Amino acid sequence: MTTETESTPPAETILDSIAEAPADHYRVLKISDLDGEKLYELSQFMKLSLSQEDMLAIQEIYQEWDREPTDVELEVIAQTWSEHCKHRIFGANIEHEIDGEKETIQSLFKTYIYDVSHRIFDRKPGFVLSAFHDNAGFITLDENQAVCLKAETHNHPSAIEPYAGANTGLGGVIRDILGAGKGAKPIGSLDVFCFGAPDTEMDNIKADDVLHPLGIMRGVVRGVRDYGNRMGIPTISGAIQFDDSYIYNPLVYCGTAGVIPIKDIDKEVGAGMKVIAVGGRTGRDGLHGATFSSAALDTESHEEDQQAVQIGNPIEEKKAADFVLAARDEGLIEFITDCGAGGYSSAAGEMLEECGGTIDLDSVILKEPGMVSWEIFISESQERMVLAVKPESLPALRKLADLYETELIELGDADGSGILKVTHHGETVCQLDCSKLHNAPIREMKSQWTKKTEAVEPPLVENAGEDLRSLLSDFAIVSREPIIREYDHEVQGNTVLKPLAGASGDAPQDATVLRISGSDRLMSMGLSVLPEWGKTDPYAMGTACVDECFRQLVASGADPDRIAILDNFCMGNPDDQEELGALVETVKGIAVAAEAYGAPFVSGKDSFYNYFETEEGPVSIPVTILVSGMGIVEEASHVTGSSLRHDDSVFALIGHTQGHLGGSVFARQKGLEKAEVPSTDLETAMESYRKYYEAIQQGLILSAHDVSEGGLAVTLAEMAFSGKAGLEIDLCSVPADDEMSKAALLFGESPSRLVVEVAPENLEKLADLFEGLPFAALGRAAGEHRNLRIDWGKETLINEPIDELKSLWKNGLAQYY
Amino acid sequence: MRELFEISDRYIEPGDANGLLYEPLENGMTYRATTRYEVEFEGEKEALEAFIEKTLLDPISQELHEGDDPALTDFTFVLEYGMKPGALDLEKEAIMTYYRGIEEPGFELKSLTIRQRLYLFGGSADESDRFIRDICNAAIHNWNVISAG
Amino acid sequence: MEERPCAVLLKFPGTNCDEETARALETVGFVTEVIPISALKPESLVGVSLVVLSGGFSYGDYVMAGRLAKLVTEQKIGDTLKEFRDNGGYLLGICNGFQILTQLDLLPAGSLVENTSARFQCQWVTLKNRAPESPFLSHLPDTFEFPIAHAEGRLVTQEESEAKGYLESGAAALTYTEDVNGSFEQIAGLQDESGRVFGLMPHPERFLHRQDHYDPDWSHPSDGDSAEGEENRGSGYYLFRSLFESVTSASS
Repeated sequence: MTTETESTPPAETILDSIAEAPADHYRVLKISDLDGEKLYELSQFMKLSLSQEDMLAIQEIYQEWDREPTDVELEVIAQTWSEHCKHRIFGANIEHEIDGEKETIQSLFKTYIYDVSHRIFDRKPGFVLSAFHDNAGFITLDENQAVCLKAETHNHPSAIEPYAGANTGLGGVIRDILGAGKGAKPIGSLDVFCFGAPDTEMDNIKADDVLHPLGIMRGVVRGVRDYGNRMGIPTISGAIQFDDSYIYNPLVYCGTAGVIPIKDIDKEVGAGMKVIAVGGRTGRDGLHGATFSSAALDTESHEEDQQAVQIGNPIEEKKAADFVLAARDEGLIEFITDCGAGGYSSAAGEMLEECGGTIDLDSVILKEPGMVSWEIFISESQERMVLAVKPESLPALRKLADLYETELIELGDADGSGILKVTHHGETVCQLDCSKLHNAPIREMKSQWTKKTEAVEPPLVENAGEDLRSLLSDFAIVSREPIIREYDHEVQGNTVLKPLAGASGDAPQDATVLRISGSDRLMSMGLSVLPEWGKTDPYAMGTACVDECFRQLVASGADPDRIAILDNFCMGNPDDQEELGALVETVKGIAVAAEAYGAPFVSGKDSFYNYFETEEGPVSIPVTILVSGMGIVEEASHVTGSSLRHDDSVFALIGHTQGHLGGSVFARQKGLEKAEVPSTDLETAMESYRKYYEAIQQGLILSAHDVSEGGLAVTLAEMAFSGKAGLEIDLCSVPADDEMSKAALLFGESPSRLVVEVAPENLEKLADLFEGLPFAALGRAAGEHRNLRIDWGKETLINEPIDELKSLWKNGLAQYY
Repeated sequence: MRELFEISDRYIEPGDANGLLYEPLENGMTYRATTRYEVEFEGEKEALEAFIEKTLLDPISQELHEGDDPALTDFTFVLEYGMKPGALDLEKEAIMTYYRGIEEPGFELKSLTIRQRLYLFGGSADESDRFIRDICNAAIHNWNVISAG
Repeated sequence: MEERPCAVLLKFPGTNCDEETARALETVGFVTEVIPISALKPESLVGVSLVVLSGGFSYGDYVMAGRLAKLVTEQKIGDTLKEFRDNGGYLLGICNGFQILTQLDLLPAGSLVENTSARFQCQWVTLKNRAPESPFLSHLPDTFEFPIAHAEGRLVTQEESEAKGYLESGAAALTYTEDVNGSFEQIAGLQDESGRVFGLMPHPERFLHRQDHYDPDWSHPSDGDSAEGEENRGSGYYLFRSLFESVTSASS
């Protein structure tokens, strides 16, 4: 051994001053005499990300126990109480003020997510099989199988090393699915990014060591590509938002869906079971990810955390996945969870919090020698899964591990004591009664929001054709094809409705639909992210996001009564009252829409402190919510794409068009930052979606496309990108507000609207179905030409060759990626 | 003992270097990529060479260069980069795992360092900083620049 | 009742198209067993008519596509695959499996290197059937579409003239109808001299059903012999059915 023991001693730290080292591998920390300030200093020194109040609460717990904590225990508590794991802002008491009115909210999560969803569960017995407590929520597919969806963010790691950050982000959420129930099979992934514009000038980046948005985009896409493709999970769904506010804090959402036999959803740990781990080895490479992601970024974090960057190893995870699914099918798994934030400490903690048991750190295979107890226990090294199994299953499990070439270790035992005990080198380094750790102090917070919009005169549209070209070339709208083609979106052979489809194979679709092996039913995946709306009207953003996601799913053929959704929030500084106010309003918006649509939340996540100290002061992201969702499609014939199919069909518009332009790409291009944002008429929308579903069941709908970014004109253009025919449209009978502007008619983004294509002989039937609801015939497919022609009564607003429009749209991103 | 092997592709045409950068250069440059393997070993050199050829070289599409000299010539500069110590190098892991499974390799592989080499042609050597900035990330990489001549 | 022929699908760490490929084989009538490479022995192929190497990223393909899979296979079973072929067995390699078969020298000399786009390409391509007599292609029309999904699908040979020779000799059983990835002579699939070893970059197993096509109005160009219930088949199905019929008629 050449370990140097006599080097120059560094200046004494707070940790040294209170530590007693009974052994080399762990320490007892005398915290009972420290005051609040010193406790907070200790938290910062150890990178625990615990507040002074938290540290005082911990001190009190240990005073009750009449002993001092070990460093392992403090790390475990820090993980358990971290924002990442505990979501303490969503559980906080918030004094909220909206346009001068005050209210108190006790837990955003309970009030607007949990309670709302549970009311829906009660209305729809048997639909949601599991929500909020497992790694992902499950909904019923058919008699035998259930599907689930989970989304996560990996923002801070992706800002520092985009490839590695995105790659481990996707790897992590895939493990969530593998650890859902007794192991669900991952069947499709989604990825949603928010970046600065790819053409951002270097001089406009006001901080050192911040990567250019293009570098971030390229790295993130390749990271998702290399992990998803190697795992053999199709990346089928996604979105990208470009906005300067994301230059310093890019957002990277990764989500994965899974399928499981219903009998394998419930899982339980019992006394006498063995705790085992499979997959990758444990190293120092993954220390302090959970607490790191609960803190803001600055230039220093780019330098300091260079040690923390992990790169994923998808083949390691693929081997573990093959093992898990085979073991589940053989009935060898009693409980399983992934090793994510907090590593073994949270996986074992979750597994043993009620039952109790012992984890033996000597069993862990290490990547490097000399790791101390807390490092092993909280390391977030990738590609590891933790299972509880019956002792008699061990030989069969070992055989499977050999077969799939993954390492299996016996980590410990569940014993029914209710105590989480950790041993290392023959000593107990942690002994915690987890039931005593649930009472992290509840935060008291303040928030306020005041209306940011005002009545704005809509701009005159002088050359609508030019405006349409400009929209189709906008980064918000241009085709994501260069990126989509880098992802294998057809592996597993079940991608029925692909992200790019239609007769030409490259036209955009609203949702993607997967066939599920062993079922006649299919699963649709959709998503919505509308940060531009939230800048001025976060409540409207919330309702519109739920509406858009829901509408995509319905459009693709899903049953509107069998849809479940996820909420994934990102925001800047929650201690800023205005920013927190925007969050509160967003949450209220999604809650009211979810309840009206009967679409429960089954899982969600949040990411805070997405702000950055630049040379010119802090820059926060706008409150950004991703609403993603899954819907059940009853049969393959219901699957409906978004591209024009026949050259003799007719077109109709479902939904009401409002005069407001706020939040639209058009408004952004014209500099109308404060324009009022459209609201969502939830009851009418839901009624329309039910009627639409009846039309689907009757086989009336040839294709359907939601009206979203770019408004009706862009929607029609996108439908025509299949190349099958031109379009002749007249807007004169579009259901709309009185005194509509051309701008709002053509380019406004009012929610709840769908353009549908039907055979001429079916138009009347469809119109009858929509009696009393906003519905109008729009025009016809024109086989005789290939122009998009849009009239408003006698006036021709747009008459543009579709191939020219398509070429603008198709090539907009290609030069950057 | 230490041996250097560099593998270049025969069929990959020089690429437009602007594709590697965030903003295009005023004077265009082109690039070719190679991979360089630095091996510390004990035992028979012939056995090592046989291992390298068998494991790393595709005789149809690639060429193998042994020794210190850069595989390609007439470059403006070479940006050489790789995973810094502690960062996972997946190719290296795959090679090492395979090596450990061989029964009698005939040599002992003490260490393997893989470096990517980007040979830049045309333009100016002053541009190397931009390539470093846009390609390398101190969070996972270390790098060095080899100047011409 | 006639015994169904057996197919073995080899699975390496990182192989990921095994399930859908097994599904395709089962659909046309093969009894299919997936064997992880760790369990492969020379005797695993006794009584087997067809060995399939499916798509994926064997060992991550970090060194070069298919290289480590070849080395490990040879470590495990030596020349068993060549003997299997010589004894009348059929071998099919799809995507990564094609890469592995070329590495194993079971197909005419060639290497599958990075696409000229330097990208992973997931898209649909049109293929020309240049070997309608091939046991793998007999039920496929002159041109048809399959999806591809690869980053290293560009077939190159030591000299470009060799690739030309493959066109003339019929070894180039499948070609793209346009330049997709820079393959010499636009070659998409190769067969060996026996005709029983076939490798292709496109993924027939992803196009078993009519509805797998990107165009909702796609229908199989009817050649008059589509039996009942076949109107919902995709072109990929016919590759597997060709193979099944060849295998069963060869063994009867």
